[in-house]
Amino acid sequence: MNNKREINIRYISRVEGQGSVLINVRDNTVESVLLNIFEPPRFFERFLIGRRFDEVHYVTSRICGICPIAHVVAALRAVENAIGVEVDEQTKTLRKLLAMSGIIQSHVLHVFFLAAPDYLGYPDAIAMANDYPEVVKKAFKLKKLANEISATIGGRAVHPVSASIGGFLSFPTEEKLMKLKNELIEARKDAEETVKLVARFSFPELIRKQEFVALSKPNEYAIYDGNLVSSEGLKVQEKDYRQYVEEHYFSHSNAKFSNLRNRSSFMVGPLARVNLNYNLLNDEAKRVAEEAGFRVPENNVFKATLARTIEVVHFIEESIKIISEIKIKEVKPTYSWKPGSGIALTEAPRGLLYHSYKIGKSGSVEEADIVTPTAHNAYNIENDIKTIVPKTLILKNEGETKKVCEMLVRAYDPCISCSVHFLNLNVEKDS
Amino acid sequence: MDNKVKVGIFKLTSCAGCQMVIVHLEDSLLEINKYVSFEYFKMATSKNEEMQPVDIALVEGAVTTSEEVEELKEIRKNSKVLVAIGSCATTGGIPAMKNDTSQVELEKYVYKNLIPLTSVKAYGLNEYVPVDAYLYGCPIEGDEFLQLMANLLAGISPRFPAPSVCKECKIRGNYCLLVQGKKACLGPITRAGCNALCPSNGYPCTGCRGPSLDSNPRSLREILLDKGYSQEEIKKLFKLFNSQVSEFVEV
Repeated sequence: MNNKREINIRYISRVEGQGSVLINVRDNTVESVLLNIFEPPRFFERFLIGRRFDEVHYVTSRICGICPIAHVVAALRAVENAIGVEVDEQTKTLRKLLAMSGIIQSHVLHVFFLAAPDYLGYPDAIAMANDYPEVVKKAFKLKKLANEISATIGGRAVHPVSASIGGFLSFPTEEKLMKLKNELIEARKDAEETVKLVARFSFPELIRKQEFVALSKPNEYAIYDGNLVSSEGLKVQEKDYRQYVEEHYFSHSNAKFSNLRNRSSFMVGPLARVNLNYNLLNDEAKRVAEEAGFRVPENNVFKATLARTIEVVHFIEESIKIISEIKIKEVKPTYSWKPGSGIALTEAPRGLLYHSYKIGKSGSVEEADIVTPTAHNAYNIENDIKTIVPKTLILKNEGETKKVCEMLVRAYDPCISCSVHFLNLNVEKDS
Repeated sequence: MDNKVKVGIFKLTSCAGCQMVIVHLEDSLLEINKYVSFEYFKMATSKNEEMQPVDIALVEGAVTTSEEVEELKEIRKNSKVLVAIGSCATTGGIPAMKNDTSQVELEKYVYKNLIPLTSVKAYGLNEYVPVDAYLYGCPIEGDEFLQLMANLLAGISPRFPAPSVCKECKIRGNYCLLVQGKKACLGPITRAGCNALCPSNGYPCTGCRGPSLDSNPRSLREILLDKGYSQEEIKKLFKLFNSQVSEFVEV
């Protein structure tokens, strides 16, 4: 008798975009896992060709409505590297502050609205709001504050406009910055309580040997730039990225899958960052991590959600520092440029983001290449599902298997619109 | 409450930025939730698998695959009011930038080999189904979304005035990027309602909200030619968000 069955999660909800998972099982052994990203392909890399270099960040922002800031910052740095433009310290600092606000916003959204309903047992945060009004209110407050920072520095939260090649086109007033600083100081308590709340969640466990990858710098918790490092000892300069990270296309997915050359899949994102750069977190973040029982390396993939809350504490503190120290000089960008090629690696909310451009003599884009965090993670998610399904299937029913797989995928906080530039869960099995 | 107005938020090919603008409404979203129930909001909820009829369907994104055409028709069939939200759903927006290149070339460039993609030319929703109302912009404006919902809940047909972005820029007393800055700003021909957000932050208007009622792209073209922009540069600029808008393209 053919003992084969199929478990099919057709549309993974509470993730950004459209994806499914199809799992084929025979005699409680997983034969194959297909992470099917059916979000339509978008061809950004092709239609950027012919656009002027100073439009690239404005257009690539539209890859993602959740992490537009990450794409803006990566595109700006890659183009600047291509055309030989260097920016001043103030620009770097303001871009970091902007990027931090983007990460806080995205993490809060994920923790409260996409992940928490699983752990507290609700279909969504709106239903959760009836029983946990204070939790939802806190989340809204934190998210709103992060968006205010984005809008103050970037001109707008979704698709910011002020950050530009060579610098900023508009600047926040001191009054606005002071208001944000006071609100950030007030937000410390809410951020700390978020860590405590999430630390009490009963996380499923998935531990398997895998490689964590993130940017790293000697003296700061890297998000803006740095070397690519891994938990298996990889250390690569930004410019050499393509020699180490390979991309493959599989017919079951509109997103391309990444692996490290001569090695397997890898994990990027908050868990990778906290594991690799723990010593560079500020004291407040380290304290809340310790109190929450978070020990590095933390190998349980589900605890990426806890890592996000620790990062929120870290970035709130860093933002306060930046605002306290900055004295803004309103200098509009001026620069000269030359044709050339350039690469940038940055840390988006979901992890490592790669942008690369070749700018021609006329100032137009001649080549474009973008790899998003979810594309970096996609292959690793398949490998994780292969590991967790046999455990859950033997112990529990199919509904539970689907639920755990969805939670696993959500732990990566996949950004599917980005990755096609991801999820419906199908498990195939025999009965 | 069972008498709540049923709302669905759907996403075709897009960045989810317009849904994010709705999520970012925070307190207002909880207020709206007193009157409506969000039946479909895949990004926010794990309820609902099969399509059930809704009163209001808010659809984000351009139509870019044959499956999306079917999905959109299914949404139309199951909704009393269908609203296109954002420039992708309104005119094809940024995704429609690909329409100038053959599908084969696009696929070869991004995916290296030909693959079982079902991608077709990108269009706004009204290419395939009747649309009852539009929210413009990339992304939409939160205030306009609230106005739309208030109107629909009150049974009023939503109307958004369509002067140009220039009007809002003048009210804000901005430095003129076109006249004074000699930048290629599309403010004079673009529909207002964003409170001139980009020009107010020093970035020229890119036309993301589509043509204003009195839009005169020909005249703006002359001005830009005078300022030294080439026909090719002007064409690219006009086509960024509006490659499927005849008023802009015919110029």
